[in-house]
Amino acid sequence: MAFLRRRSWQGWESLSDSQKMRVNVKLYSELKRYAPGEDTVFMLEYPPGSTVGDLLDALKISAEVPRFILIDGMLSDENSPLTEGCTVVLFTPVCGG
Amino acid sequence: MFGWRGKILRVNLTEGMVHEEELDPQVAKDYIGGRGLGIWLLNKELDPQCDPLSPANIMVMATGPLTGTGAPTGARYSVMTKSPLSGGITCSNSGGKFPTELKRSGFDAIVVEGRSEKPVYLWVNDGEFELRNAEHLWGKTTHETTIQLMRETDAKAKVACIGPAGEKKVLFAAIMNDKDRAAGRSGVGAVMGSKNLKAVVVRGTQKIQLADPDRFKEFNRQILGRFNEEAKVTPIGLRINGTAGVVTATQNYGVLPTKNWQQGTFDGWEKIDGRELTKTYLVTNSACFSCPIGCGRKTKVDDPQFAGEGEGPEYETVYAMGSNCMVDNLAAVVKANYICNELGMDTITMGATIGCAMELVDRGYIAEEEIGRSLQWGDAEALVELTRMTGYREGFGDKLAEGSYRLAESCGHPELAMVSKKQEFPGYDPRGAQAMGLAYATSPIGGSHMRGDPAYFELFGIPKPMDRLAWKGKAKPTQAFQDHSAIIDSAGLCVFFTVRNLVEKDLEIAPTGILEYMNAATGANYTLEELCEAGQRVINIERLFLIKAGFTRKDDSLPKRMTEEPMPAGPSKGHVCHLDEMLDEYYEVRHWTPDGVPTPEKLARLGISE
Repeated sequence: MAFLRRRSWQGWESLSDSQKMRVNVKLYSELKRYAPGEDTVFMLEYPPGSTVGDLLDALKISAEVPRFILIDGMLSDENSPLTEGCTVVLFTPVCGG
Repeated sequence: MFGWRGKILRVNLTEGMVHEEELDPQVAKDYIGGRGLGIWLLNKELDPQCDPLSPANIMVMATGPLTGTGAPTGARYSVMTKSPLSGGITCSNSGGKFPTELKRSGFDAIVVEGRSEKPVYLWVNDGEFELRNAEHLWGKTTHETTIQLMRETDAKAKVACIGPAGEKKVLFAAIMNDKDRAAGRSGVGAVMGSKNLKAVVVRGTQKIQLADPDRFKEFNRQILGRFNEEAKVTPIGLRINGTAGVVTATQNYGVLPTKNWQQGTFDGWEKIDGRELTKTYLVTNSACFSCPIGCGRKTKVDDPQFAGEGEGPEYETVYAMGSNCMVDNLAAVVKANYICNELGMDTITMGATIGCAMELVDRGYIAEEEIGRSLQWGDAEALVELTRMTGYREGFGDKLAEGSYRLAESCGHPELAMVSKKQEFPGYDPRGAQAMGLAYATSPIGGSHMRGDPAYFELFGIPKPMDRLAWKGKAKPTQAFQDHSAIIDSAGLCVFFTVRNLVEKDLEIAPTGILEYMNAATGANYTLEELCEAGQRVINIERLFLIKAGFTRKDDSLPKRMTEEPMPAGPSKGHVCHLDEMLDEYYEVRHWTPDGVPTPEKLARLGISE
């Protein structure tokens, strides 16, 4: 079967189990509106080698949208690789205290 | 003088005398103003061993050279005195309108000595000053006092006052200005109360003279222009959700202190987050004088059980009274915040002390009979009721009024107080933000985020991201941030704007933007090196004061929970704070001995004589 390198959240069904990487996604604050469905906490599957950038593209979060990106609780960026079972949290930047 | 007023008002309450003094221009340049000027005065005049609530203590209220000049966030003043909570130094800092008005009334600072026999207030009106009877105000809340004093003096006057908590010497009583702004920490309100000084009321119309107004205006135009351009693209989170929006970050980093710091995540966090506050109780945001951000929250709660109106809460309040007590009822947190403002108390220490009491009850070290009511995790009604009782030192509130350390110690378990130098921490668990632990332990006032806030690097990526879990190499940026905070506090600026907009975007933090403002305002021709040295001078002289007061390396500490008990769950699971390792590195970077004492060479280099 041809390997479909579709990295959008709709495309995961096309990947065989060994090619799937499960990624937990949580959207908070102003970024909740980018959820693909009603739930702002969901799971996506990606081929190995995918990055946060691929996830942002799929969710249609453009470069201008201010965001904090956390992978498993660590501040990350667009180039950070996604890994099997990781949790990606996206929210509007904050500071202060 | 330019920038500075060149005058200090000296108030001797024992003798009932008030007089003016000149500010030495060299001292002004070397110590900047605000916090720096305060510690310079205290180091010269105050016995570090004195009883903080005795007439021997001295309290300084000091503005900075940029306060009231129109520099963005140049709205702040510092209250410096010996702390009844920590036994060390205070550096409580507040914005609003009062500090600018104080400076426009003709003075950089007010120095208060002695103790009045009867309650008084100080009225400063455009260079004129007098002490007035305040017996009719004693017992009144901060809001009642403020309204009454504006009636008695001038409708445009600005008021800084204490409430019943300060009068009753609650060890973490605050000085409230403009009703809801607080010089909150370390018990400055108790010192004011011990002096029988109910309020300082100021009215000023004098313009602050700038050395080079054209240069100042041009630089201001550039900075604000850039700020406003950026704001068009990136909405200002602090304006939209206030500091309480930080809950989202700390929860997802696993550093949101929960259950008296037994956990770093809280199931009910979305119910107390800034976004929820914006949706539910926010009326409008508010800003201090000359602030382009406007992080203040004017709020109103209609729920009859917790009804009220006022300002707040900030993030620190939400952590301390919310997750830390496992209270997910935001209305109750807002109400407890209102009570703290009206009675004049620090919300961090209040919430942290109630959280500590909840754990003491949970573990069977305090019986609920002693408290006179139930006190279980998450009890919103208890939070509100005990806050009120503390402000008046009623019943068990009398014990809570001593702060968490003394409470836990009286039960034989001081290790359950989440403090450094007996002052409660702000809301970032250092097990998941290592440099925060170093900042808490070495802050001159004890647990604090405002005397150096590495959360900016570790959690917010400002000015540059840094691995929050690494501890090697954290001493240098922590030291740099602390020095920088000393400059910010002394100049009269706010950390929120300054760190993002007035420093070079590097972990070394070069305060180039502040330098430009300082020179245009004062004409003192600071070099970057001189300004950075001034920050270090403030830190080192504060350290000297602490050492003379009896503090040693063992006081630069964190509770065992932070250094020995790994975080049980969440994104910071398994980590402890590596304080000892960081401390060694830190003292070295500071040129202090391994016991944390500034070396004679370091002091000589900064021109500090012991």
